[in-house]
Amino acid sequence: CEPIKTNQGYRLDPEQLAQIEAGVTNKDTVQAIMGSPSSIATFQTEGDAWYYISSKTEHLAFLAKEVTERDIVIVKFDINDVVAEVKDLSKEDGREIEIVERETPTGGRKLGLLEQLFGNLGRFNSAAQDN
Amino acid sequence: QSSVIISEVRVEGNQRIEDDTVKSYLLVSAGTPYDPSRVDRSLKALFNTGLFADVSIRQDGTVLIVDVVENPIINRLAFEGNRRIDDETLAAEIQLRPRIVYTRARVQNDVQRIITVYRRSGRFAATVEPKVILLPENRVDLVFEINEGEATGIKKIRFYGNKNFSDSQLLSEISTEETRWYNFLSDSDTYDPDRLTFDRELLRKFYLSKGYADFRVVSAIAELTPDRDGFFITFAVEEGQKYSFGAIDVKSEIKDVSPDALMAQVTTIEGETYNADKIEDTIQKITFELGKLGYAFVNVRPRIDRDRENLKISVTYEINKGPRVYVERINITGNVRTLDYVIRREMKLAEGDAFNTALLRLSQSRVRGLNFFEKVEVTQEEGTDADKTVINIDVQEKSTGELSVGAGFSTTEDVSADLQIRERNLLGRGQDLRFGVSVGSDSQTIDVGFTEPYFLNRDLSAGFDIFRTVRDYQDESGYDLERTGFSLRSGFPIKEKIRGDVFYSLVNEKIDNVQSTAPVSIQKSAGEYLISSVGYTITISDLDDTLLPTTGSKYTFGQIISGLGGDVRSLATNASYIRFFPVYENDVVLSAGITGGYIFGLGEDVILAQRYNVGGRNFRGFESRGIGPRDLASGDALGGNAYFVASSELRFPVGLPQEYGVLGRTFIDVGTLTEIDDNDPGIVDSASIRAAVGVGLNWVSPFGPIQINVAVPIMKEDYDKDEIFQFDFGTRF
Amino acid sequence: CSSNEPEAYVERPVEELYNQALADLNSENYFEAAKGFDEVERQHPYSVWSTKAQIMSAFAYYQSNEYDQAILAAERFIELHPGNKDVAYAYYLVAISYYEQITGVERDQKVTRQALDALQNLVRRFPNTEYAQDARLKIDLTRDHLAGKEMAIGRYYLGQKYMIGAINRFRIVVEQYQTTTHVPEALHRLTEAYLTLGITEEAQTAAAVLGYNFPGSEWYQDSYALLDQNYLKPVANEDSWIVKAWKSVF
Repeated sequence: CEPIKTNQGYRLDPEQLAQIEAGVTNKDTVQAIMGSPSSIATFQTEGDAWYYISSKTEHLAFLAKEVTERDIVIVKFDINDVVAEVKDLSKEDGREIEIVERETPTGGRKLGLLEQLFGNLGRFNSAAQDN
Repeated sequence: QSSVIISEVRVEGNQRIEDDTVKSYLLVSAGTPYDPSRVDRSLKALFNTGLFADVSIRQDGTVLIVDVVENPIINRLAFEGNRRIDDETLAAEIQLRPRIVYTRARVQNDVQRIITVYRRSGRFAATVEPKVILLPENRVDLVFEINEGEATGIKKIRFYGNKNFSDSQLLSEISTEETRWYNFLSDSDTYDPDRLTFDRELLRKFYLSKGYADFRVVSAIAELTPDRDGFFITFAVEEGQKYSFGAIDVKSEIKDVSPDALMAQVTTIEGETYNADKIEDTIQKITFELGKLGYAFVNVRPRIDRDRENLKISVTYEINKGPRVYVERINITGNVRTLDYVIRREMKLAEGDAFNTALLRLSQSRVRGLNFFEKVEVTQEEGTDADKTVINIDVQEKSTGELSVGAGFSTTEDVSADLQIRERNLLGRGQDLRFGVSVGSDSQTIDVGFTEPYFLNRDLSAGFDIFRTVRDYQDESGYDLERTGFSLRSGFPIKEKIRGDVFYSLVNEKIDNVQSTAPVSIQKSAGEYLISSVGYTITISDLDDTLLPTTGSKYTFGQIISGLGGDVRSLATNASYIRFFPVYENDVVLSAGITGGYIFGLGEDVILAQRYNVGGRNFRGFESRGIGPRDLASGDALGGNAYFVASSELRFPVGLPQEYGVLGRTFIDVGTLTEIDDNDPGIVDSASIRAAVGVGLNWVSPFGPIQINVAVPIMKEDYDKDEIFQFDFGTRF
Repeated sequence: CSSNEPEAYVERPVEELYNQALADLNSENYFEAAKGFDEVERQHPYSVWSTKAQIMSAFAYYQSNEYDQAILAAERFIELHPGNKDVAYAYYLVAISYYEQITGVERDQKVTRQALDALQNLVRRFPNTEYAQDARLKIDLTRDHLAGKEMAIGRYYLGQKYMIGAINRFRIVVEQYQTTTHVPEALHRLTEAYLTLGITEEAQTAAAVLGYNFPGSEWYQDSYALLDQNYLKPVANEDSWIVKAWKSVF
C-alpha cells in the first residue's frame, strides 16, 4: 500500500522562475510574476531576500511524516530593489535537526484534572456547556 | 448683542449625581461666553446620559443655572404571572436591573423584549403591563405584570400542488411539526417565521435531489385561527417536471490535466434522476482529486443546460485556473478549554500552503468530527497581500464530559445498572478517559479506559484499559467466572478505508464455586489461568453511516495469539463480513453478513474460558449459550472451538413519521458451534446447522432505546435451548 | 437544594448596613461584603455612602474572584461618577479583573487582549498614578503572554516540519515582541528552522544576534552547538524511546 502524498507550501512553476533575471527584474515584477514569497529574510544586511519554499511529503500509515522533496528559491535584491542573485536549494542542502525540547515558561490559569472531570457532575451530557 | 461671559455655573436639583459629573457633560463653563448652540448641545448631552427625567438651563445675570430632575433608581424588580418562563430567563433578556436608573424608554424596550421571548416560545397572545411603585428618596419598585395567554401551537400543516409526494412525506422533510399530545418533548411544534423560511429551503433541497429542477415554493402562509389559539400553515408548491441527467462532460482549461482521469470522480450519471446534491458532491470530489495531483489553484464550475422537451439536464464540469492564493495565517479562537494544537492538527492546510476550498471544507468537517464543539465556524479574510488569505476558525465548545447512568433489562442478562463517567476531551488535550461501573443480577464490571488519539504526534492512537468482571454462569453452566486484567491497544489508518488495530492483554481468569453436579470437563477447568496474549485486527469499511448504515460493506479479520508467557497457549482467528443494500429510498434496507471464529490450542487443549459461546444476542431464537457442545446429564453448556453465524435482515419503517425512531425488522439467523477438546462420553456435540427466523422492533423512546425480538428456531438439535422472546431496554441520561 | 428566594427585604439605616459590609470585608468573607455594599447603594442611593459603597462592592467582588461581577460594578461606577477621585481605582479594578482570568497560551487569548486594552486605557487616562505604574508592569507580562502564544504555534509547526508556518511565527516574536522573555528562544528556533532548510547565513546571523544580545542564555549554547562545524551530522537525541513517548502523552 503506497503512502499518502501531500504538497506543502509554495507551488513552484519553472516557467515563471525563468522570467526572473538577475540585474534586470525589480521587486514589483517578481511579486507580479511569482506572487508573494513564503517568507522574507529576517536578518539580511544590504538588500532584502525573498524565500519561495515548496516541499513534498509522504506519510505511510502510522509512521512519522517524511519530507521527500524540498526546493527553496532565494531571490536576493540589492539596495535599490533589483534582483541581485537567484539561488536554489534542495533537500540535500538541509540538515536533519533534533529540536530542543525546552520551552520558555508561560503563566496563565491551568484547568485542573479533577476540576474538569467532576466539573460535569452537576451537568448531564445532554445539557449544553453554559459558559 | 454682545455675548455675556459666564461667571459661574451652578447645578441645582441633583441629589445623587455630583455637580462635577453634570458639569463634565457641559460644553460651557465659567469664564467662557454664553453660546446658545453650545448650551443646546450640552442639554442634549445631559439627556443622552439617561440619568435625568428633565434638564433645563437658564441664565440668571452672568450665572448659568443647570436645573436637573434625576431619574429614579430602581429598588426592586419583579415579574408576576409568568408560569411558562421563569424569572431568571426573563431577567437575562431585559436590561433593567435593581440599582440602575429607571427611564420610560428603557421600560418600553424591556416590555418589547419580554413579548419577543414569549413569541419565540410560540405564545403570541402574551401581554405585558409595567407597574411602577414610587418610594421615598426618588426610588421606584418596578413590576412586570405578564398575561401569558394560550399557547399558539400549529393545528394543521397543509400542502397544495404536490402530486408526486404525499403530504406526510413532505411533512417529515420540513422541521415544523403539528402540535400533538405525544410530541410533548419537541419544541418545534410552535409557529416561528424563521423556521418557516428554513422549511421552504428544506422543501427546495428535497425536490432538487429528486429530479424536480423547476421546483419552487409559491407561498408559505400561516393564518391565526379566529380564537387565536393555533395556526394553520399552508405550503403552495409548483413541482414542475421530473428531469434526468443528460450528457455529462468534464472540460479542463489546465494543460496536462486529462478530463477522462477526472471522469471517475463524477457521481452524476447520464440517465439517472437529476440530483442537485450529486453535482455539488462531484465538484468537491474533482477539486479534491486535482488537489492530490498537485493543482491547488483550480475552481470547478458546472455549466447546466436544461432541455425542456425531453426533460434532460446535461452538466459540463468546467475546470479553469483559480487565483494563486496562499494561507498566511490560521487563527483559532473560542477554544476556552481545547488546546490549540488539538484543533490545528486536524487541519489539512498549514500556514504557507496553497489555499484550496476543498481542503478547507475537509478541514472544517474533520474539526467537527472531533465532536467537542457545538459550532465550528470557518471564515476567511484577506491577508497582508492580495494573494494571501487568513483563515479564522471560531469554535464554541460543548460539554464533552459524559455522566451516563444506565439501567438495562434483558432476558439474556436480566436486570443491570451501570454508571459511566467519561471525558472525551481530557484537559483540552483531545485525550479520552472513561471510567465505568456496572452492577447486574448476574455480573459486576469495573473498567477504566484511556486513549491518546495522536500518540508521538503521529496519526497513531494508543491507549490502555484496566478491567475486572465477576460473572455468575451458575444456571447456564454451573460456575462463576472472574476476569481481571489490562490491555494496551493501538490503532492506525493503513489506507483511506483500511484501519489496523493491535493490542496486548494480560488477563487473570478464575473459575470457581463449580457446582458438584457440573460435568467432569467443567470440574477439570476449575482454577486460575494467566492469559497473556497479543492480537491484531484489520478493518476495511466503506459504510455510509456507523449507526444506521444504508449502503456499503464492512470486512474485519483478526487473530489473537495467547502464549507469550502465561499458562495458556492458543491461536484464535476471527473474521466478519456484512453488506447493506438500499431496497427502497434509504428507508427499507437489506443487510446480509457472516461472522465466524476458530480457536485451537497450541500443543494443549483449549480451556473453558477461551471457548466461544453462541446464543442470545449473537444468535437470535436461542438462549444465551443456547447451542453448541453440552453435557447431557447436567444440561450445562461447554462452549466450542469453532463457530459461524450468518444472518440476513430487512429493515423497514412501520409507517409512523420518522422522528419517532420506530423501525421494524425481519431476519433469519443460521449457524453452528462445535468442536471441543474433551472426549468425555457425557458430552454431546454436533456440527449440524441451526437456524431461526423472526421479527423485531426497535424504538428510540424518549427514555432510551428499546429492542424486542421474537424468533422461532426452525432447525435445531433437541438438546439446544431456545428463547422465543428477547427484550432489551437501556437508558442513558 | 438551597432556598433561592431573596433574603427578607429589610430597610436598615445606612451606617449599620455599611459597617456590616465593612466588617464582612475585614473578616475576608468578601462575597457577603460585596452583597452588603450593594444593599447600601440599593436602599440609600442618595446617601454619601452610596458612591463609596459602589467602589467597595467592586473591590469585594474582585477579592472573592467574582471577576465578571467586579468588572460590571467598576464599570457602573465609572459611568455614574466619571469625575470621582476613585475613578482611577475603578479603571484599575477592571484591568486586573481581566488580568487575573488570563488562561494558558494554548487556549483562546480573548481575555488576554481585553486585559491589555484595559491596562493601556488605564495608563493613558491616569499616567502618573500608582495604578498606572503597576499597569505598565502588567502590560509587559500580558505582551509576554501573547508572544508565548505565537511561540507555542511556531513550535507545533516546527515539530510537524511545516517550516514556513514556523519561521513566520518566530519572526513575529522577534520583530513585534522584542521586549519579551521569548526572544532568545525565538532566535534559537530560527537557527533550527533555517538550518533544517539549509539557509545557513540566516541561521548564523540569528545565532550571532542571540549571542550578542543574550550571551548567557542557554538558548545561545544550543544555537552555538548546532552551528559548531563538527556538529553537522544529524543529532541523536539522548532520551530513550520510552521517555520520548511518555513525554508526548503527559
